[in-house]
Amino acid sequence: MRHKVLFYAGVGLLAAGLLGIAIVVMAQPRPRLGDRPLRPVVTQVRYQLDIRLQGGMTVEKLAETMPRSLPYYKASVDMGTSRAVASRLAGFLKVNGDMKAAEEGLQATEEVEVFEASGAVFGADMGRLWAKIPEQPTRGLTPETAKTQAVEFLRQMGVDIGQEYTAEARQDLVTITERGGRPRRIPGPFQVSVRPRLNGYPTVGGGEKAKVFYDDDGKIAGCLVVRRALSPDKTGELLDVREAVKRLAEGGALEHLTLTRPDRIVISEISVAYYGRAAAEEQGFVQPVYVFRGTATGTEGNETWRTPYMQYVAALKSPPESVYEPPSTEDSDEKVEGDMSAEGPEDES
Amino acid sequence: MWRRACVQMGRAVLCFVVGLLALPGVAVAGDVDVGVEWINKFPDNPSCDRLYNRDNCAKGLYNYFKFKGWKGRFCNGNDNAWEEHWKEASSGGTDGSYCDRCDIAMIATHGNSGGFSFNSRHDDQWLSRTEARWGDDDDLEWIILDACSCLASATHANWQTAFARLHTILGFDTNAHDKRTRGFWFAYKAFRKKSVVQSWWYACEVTEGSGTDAAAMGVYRPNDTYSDRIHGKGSVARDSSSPTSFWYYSHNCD
Repeated sequence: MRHKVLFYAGVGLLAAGLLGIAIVVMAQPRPRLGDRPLRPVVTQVRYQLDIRLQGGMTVEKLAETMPRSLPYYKASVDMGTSRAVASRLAGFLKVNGDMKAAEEGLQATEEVEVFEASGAVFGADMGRLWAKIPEQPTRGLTPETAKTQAVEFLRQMGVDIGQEYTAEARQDLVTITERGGRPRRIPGPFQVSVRPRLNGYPTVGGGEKAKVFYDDDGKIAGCLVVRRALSPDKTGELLDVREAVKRLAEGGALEHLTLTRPDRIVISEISVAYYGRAAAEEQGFVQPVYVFRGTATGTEGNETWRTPYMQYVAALKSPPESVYEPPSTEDSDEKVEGDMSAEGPEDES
Repeated sequence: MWRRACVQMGRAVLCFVVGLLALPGVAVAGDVDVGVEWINKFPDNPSCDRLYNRDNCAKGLYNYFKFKGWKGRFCNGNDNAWEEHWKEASSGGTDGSYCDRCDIAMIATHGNSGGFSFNSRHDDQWLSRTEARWGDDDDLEWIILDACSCLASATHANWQTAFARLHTILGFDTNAHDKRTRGFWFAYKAFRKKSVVQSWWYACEVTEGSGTDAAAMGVYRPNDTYSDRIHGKGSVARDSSSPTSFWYYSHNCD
C-alpha cells in the first residue's frame, strides 16, 4: 500500500514539474508580428542651420580670405614603407613571429598589423594599452613631454612626419560613479596625434594621422600610423564658401553622420583642411574639404540634447572622388531569425 | 510489483530534477549567441536621414561571430528591425526573445544622447534609455549601440537603470560616422583574445577620426567588467544583478 502511494506521489511530482515548465515557457514574452495598433508617425521636423562665426566673422568676409584653388594629391599605398615601419615597431614591442597573410586580407601578427586598404600600421602591447581602468592620473608625463616623446618615437619608427605638422596631446576620460552618487573623474592615459600639414592646411579625418598611445604609467604602449604616399596631382578650383554653406543647409548637414535630426545646428567655425580616410578604407585622392564645426541641439520627448558637431563638405568644384568612402551595395529589408547554425569551426586559440 | 514501480518512478523523478538543475549550466557552456539589427532607410521616420552602411557594419560583426562558431539569433534590417526587440517587457517590449537572448548584440542606426531610432513602428520608433533593461531575461552581456552620442559623457549615468546583469555598453560619446566595417574590426580583435573594450577602441580607431570620441560603460562593483573577453577567449566577470557602481570611459579617435 505504501509503495502504491509513493508511486502515485512520484507521478504527481513529475506532472507538477512538467506543468510548471509549461507555465514558465508560456509566460515568456513572444515576438508579436504587428498585433498591436501602430503609434502615430512623428510630425515632420526640419533643422535650422545658423552660422555664428567667432570674432565677428561673417561668411561674406570669410569668402574673401578663402583660397580660390588648391592642389590635391594622388594617394597610394606604399607597402614597402609600411612593412619597414611595422618591422621597427615589432622590434620595439618585442613581437615575435612572421608577418603572414591572414584570411581577412591583412598582414598580421598578434600585435603588429599592416592594413592592405591604406598601408596603415597598428602595433601595441595590448597587455598595457587600454588594459585596465586607471586608478590614478598618469604621473611624470605632461602634454608637452608626451608630444616631444611621441614625435621622437615616430621618427625612430621611420614614420615620415614631414617638416610641417601639428601634434596634439589628449587624455581619455574615465569616470567612476556609485549608483546615485557623485562621479569620480580620473584623467585616462595620454595619446598624441601627429598630423602633417599640406600646403599650410591641417589634415582631418581618420587618415593622415600618426597616433602614439601611452599606458597608465606614461610609457609608450603602441601606435597607429595611417599615412598614404601622396604625390601632387592637379590644382582644382574651390567652391565658394557661400556655396558650401548652401550645400550644408540643403541636406548635407547630416550626411554620413548617425545623428538623429536636430532642431538646430549652430556653426561657429569654418575652415579648410585636407581629408584622409581611415585605416580600414581605400582612398585614391587626398583632397581639400570645408570643415564646419559647431553644436547641434534637439529634443526627444521632454528631453533636450546637445552635442558637438563637425561636418565636411567637398571643397573642390570637381572632386576627383567622393570625400567619404562610397557604400558597397544596395541593402534590402533582411530578416533572419532563429538561424541557429554556426557557419564555421570554433576559433583557433 | 508496486515496490519495483516505485523504485523506477523514484529514478525518473531524480533524473528529472537533475536535468532541471543542469539546464542553466548547459546553456552557459553550449549556447553563445549573437544578434544584430540595422537600419539604412527611414522613409517613415522624419527624424532620421538616409544611411548607407549600417547593414554592412552590423552584418560584419554578425557574420564574423557566426563564422567562429557562435549561433546567430537574429539579423534584421530596415523595417524588420523593431524597437520592441530592444525594449523591456514592462514597457511593452520583447527584448526577452531578442537582444536579451544573445550574449552580444549590436544595433546600427541613428541616435542621440537619449537613445536610438527605428523606421518601423513596432512598438514605436524611439528606444529611450528609460525603456531599456538588459540582461535580466537571459544572457546578454555586451551590447553595441553604433549610433551617434548614445553614450554621451554628460548623460551616461542615465543608462545605469539598463544594467540588469548586463556587463558593458559600447557606443559613442560624440557624433560618429556611417562606417562600413566597424563591426567586422571589433569581432576581428575580440576573437584574438583582446578585451571587449580594447576591441571597441581598436575598431573605432581604424574607422573614425577627427571629432569622434568612442565610449564604453560597464559595471565597476560588485564585479568589474572592464576586462571582459568574449566567451571562450578569456575571463568574463560574474553577472551583477544589482550593480552598485559603474565605470565610464571616453576615448578620442582623432
